[in-house]
Amino acid sequence: MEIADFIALAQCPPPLRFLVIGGYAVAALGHVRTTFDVDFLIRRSDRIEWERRAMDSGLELVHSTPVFTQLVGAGGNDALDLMCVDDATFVPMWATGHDHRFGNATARIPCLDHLLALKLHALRHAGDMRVSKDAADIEALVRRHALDLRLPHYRDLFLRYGTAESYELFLRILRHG
Amino acid sequence: MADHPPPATDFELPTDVGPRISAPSPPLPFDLWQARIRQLRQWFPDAIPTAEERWRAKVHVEFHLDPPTAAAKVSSFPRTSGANDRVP
Repeated sequence: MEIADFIALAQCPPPLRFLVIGGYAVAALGHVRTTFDVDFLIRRSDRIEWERRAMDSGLELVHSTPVFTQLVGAGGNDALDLMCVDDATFVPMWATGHDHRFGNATARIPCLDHLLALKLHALRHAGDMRVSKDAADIEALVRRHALDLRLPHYRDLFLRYGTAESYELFLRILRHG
Repeated sequence: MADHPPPATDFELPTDVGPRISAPSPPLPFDLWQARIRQLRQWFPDAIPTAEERWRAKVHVEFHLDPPTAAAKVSSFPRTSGANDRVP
């Protein structure tokens, strides 16, 4: 299964709202890198229905918590990860996102600020395994969109979702200091 | 074998070299990108993280959107580039 197949899971009646996040959203916003899984951000209230549809399509449920669901296809490939958020977070992310073509399928991705917030959140709370990937994504997105991190808007974003240390680091890396 | 002191790492590199040269990644058609990922899966199957490895790498702290601070609210919001129109 590929991303278009996972998107199709949401389109069965009744349709489920979701946002593509992770490597596919990063690519849609201008930084193409290798990714081996598909990440969707979903409403927590839809989690059980997502899991049912995914398992009906042949995916195996590997992990399920209130925050994350992990599903894999045969042989451990075709990974689909579902990140659950409450409505207070999902609704504004949905409203400010925009639709993007992924091959023959269309799905919504978050706006750039919200994707950066997700990445900064991951960077702040991650263990060592994923720090470099998230940091590289943030750096690439900032460069691609020519963001000036010195602006109060971005300083606030980085300090709210990341840390002062990571903000200073990105300022130095991007020569904004 | 005799012990040697570690090599010096103070290269006295210039610190003021002007704006860093950077080039955005080139536009890549979605189908080609997917084909390359499939190819990498075939060539390097052992390099693909397992489900358990990916699970351990997940951040299990729930994500919440927070309201912006007053300082950010009064700032002007810069327009982003049109990169989204190009890739993939």
